[in-house]
Amino acid sequence: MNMDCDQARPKLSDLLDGTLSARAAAAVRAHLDSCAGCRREKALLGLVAQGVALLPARRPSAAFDARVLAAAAAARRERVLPRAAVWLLHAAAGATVLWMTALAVFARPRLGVADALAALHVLLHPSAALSAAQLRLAEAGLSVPEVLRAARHAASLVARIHIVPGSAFDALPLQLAAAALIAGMAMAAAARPRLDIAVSRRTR
Amino acid sequence: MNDNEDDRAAVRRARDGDESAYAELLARHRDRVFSFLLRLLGSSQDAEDVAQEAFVKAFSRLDSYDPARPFISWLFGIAHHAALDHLRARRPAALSLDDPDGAPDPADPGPDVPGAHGPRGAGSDAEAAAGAALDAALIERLLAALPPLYREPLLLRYKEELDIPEISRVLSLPEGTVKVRLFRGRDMLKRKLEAYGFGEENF
Repeated sequence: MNMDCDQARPKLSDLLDGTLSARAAAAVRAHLDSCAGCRREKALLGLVAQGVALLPARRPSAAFDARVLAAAAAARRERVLPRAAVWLLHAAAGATVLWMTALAVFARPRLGVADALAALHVLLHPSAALSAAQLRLAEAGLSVPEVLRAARHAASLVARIHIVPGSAFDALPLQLAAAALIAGMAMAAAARPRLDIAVSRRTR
Repeated sequence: MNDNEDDRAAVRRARDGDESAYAELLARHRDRVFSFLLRLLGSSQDAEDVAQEAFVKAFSRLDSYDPARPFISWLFGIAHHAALDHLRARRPAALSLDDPDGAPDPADPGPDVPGAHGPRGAGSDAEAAAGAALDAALIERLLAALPPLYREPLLLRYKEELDIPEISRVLSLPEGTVKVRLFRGRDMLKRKLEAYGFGEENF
């Protein structure tokens, strides 16, 4: 059955772009052979594509490249800081845990397996470990508000480290590392008097 | 395809810290991205600002580039979203590239696209119809008078020669929507050409 103009016209663009099935294309072509109006329509649509393709490339100002490269280099430098900060914090948290473990081993008279487990706990559950550490501080007779102030100060320092929005580094690893570090420091502070006691007992 | 292999190699070098790779990628794609944005935004200054933003963004996100895809399409996608942000910031009420189909678009072509302020009314179209020839300046002018949401797919399809699936990824739109916009944009531009006397004796 022959196509009429109403059926053929919506298909002309696709015919020009080569996105019609072979059968549909053949039917549209058969209609075009007998319809000057649709041939004109097709020619005009073809002209649109040709015309847009004809548009020349335009160039930005001469300073554009230098400006883009400088801005990109600055953005890269900004990214290096958080990357280094994350690495350092992870390293510091790891070192703290190692130190706590060593403490647990060498200060055996007062610090035991529980302390080593607590150190591991810091890594796995930093926020829970933080409150546990505060309890220990109280037990050790240290001023909790004072240590909290110090921890807050450390946290605000950490929070001030610039994180590039949308970069691969979201705040989470940084926060975990910071929490682990603060908890580790607090636990170390809590353990210190006990260690001092243990050491003084040994040397006595 | 060769170009894309060069791009992939340059991306690898840039990721490995080779500074010259950034300059190479910029030199290869700067004019296309800038031309696209200029025709979208209408002002050289805006186009430069948004192009700079797009390149800086792209260069800081090279890790997320999928090498199976042409690098230029990926760049166009970033440029498109940067242009969208730019238009939103400039005219919070106007979502020029995302309006539902058929909604009126307030964006005017700016002063920097050559011929952007040519005849637009029916009377002046008729005046210019005599002896009209298909040249870049005329197309530039007619295209600039289209709403950006139709202008954009036309540029990507017929100037940049991206296929429909790539355009749909660039614009983050379903392929069906891209096809509808292309069809309508092409029809609008066709009618403008007709108004300039094309299709009378030419065929």
